[in-house]
Amino acid sequence: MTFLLIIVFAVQLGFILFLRNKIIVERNHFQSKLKPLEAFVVQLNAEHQKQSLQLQLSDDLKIKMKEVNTALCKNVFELNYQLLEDSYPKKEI
Amino acid sequence: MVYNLYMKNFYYFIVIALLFSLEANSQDIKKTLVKAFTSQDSSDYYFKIAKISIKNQADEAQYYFCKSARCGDYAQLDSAIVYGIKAEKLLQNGDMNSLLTVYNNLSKTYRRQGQYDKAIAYSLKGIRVAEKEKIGNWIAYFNANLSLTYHDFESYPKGVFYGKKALKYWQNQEKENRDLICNALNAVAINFDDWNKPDSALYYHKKVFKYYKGVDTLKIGETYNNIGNTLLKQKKFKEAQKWISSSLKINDKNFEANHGVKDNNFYYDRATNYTNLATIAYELDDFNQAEKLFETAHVYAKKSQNAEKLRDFYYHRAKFNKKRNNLSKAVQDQESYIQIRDSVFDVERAQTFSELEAKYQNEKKEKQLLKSKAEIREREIEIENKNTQFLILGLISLALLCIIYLVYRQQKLKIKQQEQEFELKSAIAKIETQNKLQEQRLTISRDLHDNIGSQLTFIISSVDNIKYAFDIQNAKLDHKLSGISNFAKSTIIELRDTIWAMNKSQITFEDLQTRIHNFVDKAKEAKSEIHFNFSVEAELKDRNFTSIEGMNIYRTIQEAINNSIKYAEAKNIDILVEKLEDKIQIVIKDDGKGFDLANTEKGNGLLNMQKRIAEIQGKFDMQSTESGTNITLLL
Repeated sequence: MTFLLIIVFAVQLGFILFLRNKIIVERNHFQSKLKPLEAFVVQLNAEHQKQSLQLQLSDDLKIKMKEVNTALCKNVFELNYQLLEDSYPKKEI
Repeated sequence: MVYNLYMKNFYYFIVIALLFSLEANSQDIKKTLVKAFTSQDSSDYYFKIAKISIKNQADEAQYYFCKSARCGDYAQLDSAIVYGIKAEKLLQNGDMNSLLTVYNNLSKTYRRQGQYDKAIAYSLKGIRVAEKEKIGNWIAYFNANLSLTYHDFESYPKGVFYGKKALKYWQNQEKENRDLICNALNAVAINFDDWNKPDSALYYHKKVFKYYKGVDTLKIGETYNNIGNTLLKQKKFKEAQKWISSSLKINDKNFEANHGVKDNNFYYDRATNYTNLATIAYELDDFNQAEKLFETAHVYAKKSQNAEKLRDFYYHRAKFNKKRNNLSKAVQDQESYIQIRDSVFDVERAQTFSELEAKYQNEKKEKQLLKSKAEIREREIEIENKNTQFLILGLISLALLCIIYLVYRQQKLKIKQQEQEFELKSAIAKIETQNKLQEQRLTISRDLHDNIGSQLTFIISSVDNIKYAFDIQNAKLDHKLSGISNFAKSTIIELRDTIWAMNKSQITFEDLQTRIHNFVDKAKEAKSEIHFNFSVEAELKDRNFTSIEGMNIYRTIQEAINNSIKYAEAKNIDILVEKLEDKIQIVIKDDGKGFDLANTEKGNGLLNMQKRIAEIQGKFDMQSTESGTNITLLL
């Protein structure tokens, strides 16, 4: 009986070691599988960050361009106004 | 008292069975010995033939064993003892059952002779061997034997003790043997009877009728006699007479059924019956009848060669003669009685009895002690084993819990890993989608910028062509056209700066320095008298900024220089970049006229500078005096 119990205990110990080893192997395997994915995410994030900055700059430029557009429109209008002002006395004559 | 008949048939059975159990090569002597043992008339002849056929020690042992049994049966007690002792020596290393039978025979023979010490010694020897060999039946036989011997020795309590032991054993057997049970019952009863406990005696005697009924009662003639004997002691003479007469009739019947064989039991039973009947007769004052019966009893008692029987006979006849006033005969019988009694009950013998029993009891106690010690040790080992088993069971339970925990953990880990993997893949998919969207937006932005750039270039070239193609005399118009052209040019520069920043993922101070130098060079073209000084600490040259940070720093410095050029009338503009603890300090100072910070309204340029620096989590500080303006950026 005692011998049988010892055998059962030994088998259990063996099974525990096997399970523990299996967990470690699976964890390592998962880590190695995860690393490229993480690296890829980091790379994508960097890319995303870069694109975000570029878009931010683009948005700033867009605002600036709107201001430029307004300013240019105003300048062109003033130019036209000046041309009309210069031309009007000639027509009267 | 009668106690032999129960065992008679059983005894024959044992002897014959033992003879048949001999080895095959002893078949001839075996057959001869069986004939010698059972034959009525030719026993001696067959024994002579058997003696000639003896080939080895085993044959010789069996020969003496049978001879002893035969002599014992036919009242040749001395011969029975001599042959028995020879058989005992030869059987020491031989058949154990034969040896035990020899011990039994010797014990019985010595008892009949009244040598109770020797009878007890052989019974105890037999018990020792039987206990060693663990033969329960023989232990019970010897206990019954001891009971009868102690009875004859008038040691009734011991007789009852051993008788009850034998009775208990036989009653506990799975297969009930009524002969052996009745033998034990008889042994207990006769002890009680002579111990003057007639009620107990009758109780055990009458128990016999539980096992024997109807025709079977022919086998228990001695029980009838014994009951009569007990009633006689209770002075119930008539009743006693009936029982004893019945016993006598049964004995006669058995004698007929036994083909008239006059063996030891025949004489013994009749001696008992007639002595008892004679006693009843003289108690009832029928002296003539008593005398006749005593005479008959005397013949049988003598022939039975049983010391106890003769002793009883003389005792009762002495009492009879005394009652009859025949004193000379009474004295004579009394002397015979005393002679037999003394030969049987001497002090030395009693002492030997005690010693033998004490020795046996001591041996038994020692054995029991050893047995108990062994049992205790065994129990201790068993307890130790159980403790170990409990410990291992505990460990097994613990290990089982560990296994359950590990399996649970493994499953949990697997689920967690799957979740993590799924989350990561989802995040990747999400980021990829966002990146694609941003990429599309950037492509559109780039197309737009290219378009704007080309349109601005077209505007500039158109304005310049108008100016050169048409000789414009109107100063105002000319100024307006120049204003549009310059505005478009500055917008293109700004556009290029932004595209430059967008195309760079990181901007260093060195890049900034180059860019600012280009700007300063252009500014110098307009204001050649202004002296620019731009210095960056060597340690900071490789410091990286994001495109937004770089662009904001660049625009702020550009704005500050523009302000100095446009409004301050400065001669020297210094741009200093240095490290301050773990931060970067950028100082733009000029030696212009300055302005009153409190009373001057902040323009778009100033506000833009503050906003840009705040956007990149920096600090903006501006000091202005009459001797110049000092702008400090802390990043």
